Amino acid sequence: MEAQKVDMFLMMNGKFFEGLQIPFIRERLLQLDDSKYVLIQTASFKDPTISLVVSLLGGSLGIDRFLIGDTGLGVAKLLTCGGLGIWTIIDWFMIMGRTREVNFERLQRVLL
Amino acid sequence: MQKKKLYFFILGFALTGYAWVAGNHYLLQADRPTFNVCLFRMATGLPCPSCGTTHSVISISNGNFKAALNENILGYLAALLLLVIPVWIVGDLVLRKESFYTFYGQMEGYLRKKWIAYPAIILILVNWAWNIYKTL
Repeated sequence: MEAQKVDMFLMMNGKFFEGLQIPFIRERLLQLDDSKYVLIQTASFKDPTISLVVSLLGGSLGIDRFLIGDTGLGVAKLLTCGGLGIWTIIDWFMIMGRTREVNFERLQRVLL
Repeated sequence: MQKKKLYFFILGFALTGYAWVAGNHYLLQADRPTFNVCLFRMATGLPCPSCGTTHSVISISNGNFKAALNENILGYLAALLLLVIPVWIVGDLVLRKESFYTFYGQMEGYLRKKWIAYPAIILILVNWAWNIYKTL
């Protein structure tokens, strides 16, 4: 894929990934065929800031985990009053990182 | 999530659950007040959808199935998961299988389907409304 297109993609979507992952993503996208560009453009990613807001407001009901696609853990959180309240507080600090991780996993699935 | 990470997370979570239920069981028998750890209840004064689950699980362990139903129906689900999942995971770890991991992935897939997710959300909301009604 052309470097210009890759840089454009990273400029638009860089906030959805960890800083450490960006060079790896760039490398992978550069090796990718041009035909996959549309596929990558249409991939949707979760915004870490929105997941943090949802975690602050509805974390004790597990809504943050449901939002990012961790349905199993969402059910666990919902059934336990947000993991006895402790998991809810931990997730206020962890959810942004986990959202970026989920976004990276999603991108990898698209790239395969 | 990776298999090993998921297994140890759920095992730790289940062990905490057992310790929590045992601690609350002791406090109830000693006629002492139990802890309120629900942030939702602390913030709003209203119970969350799963408030009462601990008491429900304790009632189930004592054989009071009707009382458990009245405290929170989700206690049945929690008790079932607490009984089955640790045994399943330990079995998987010992036999070097990944049957629970596969099942977990399949269940996540099912729960994301609209025809399962929407009725489940409605059931949770109905149970929540009942939970709030009981405390009023």
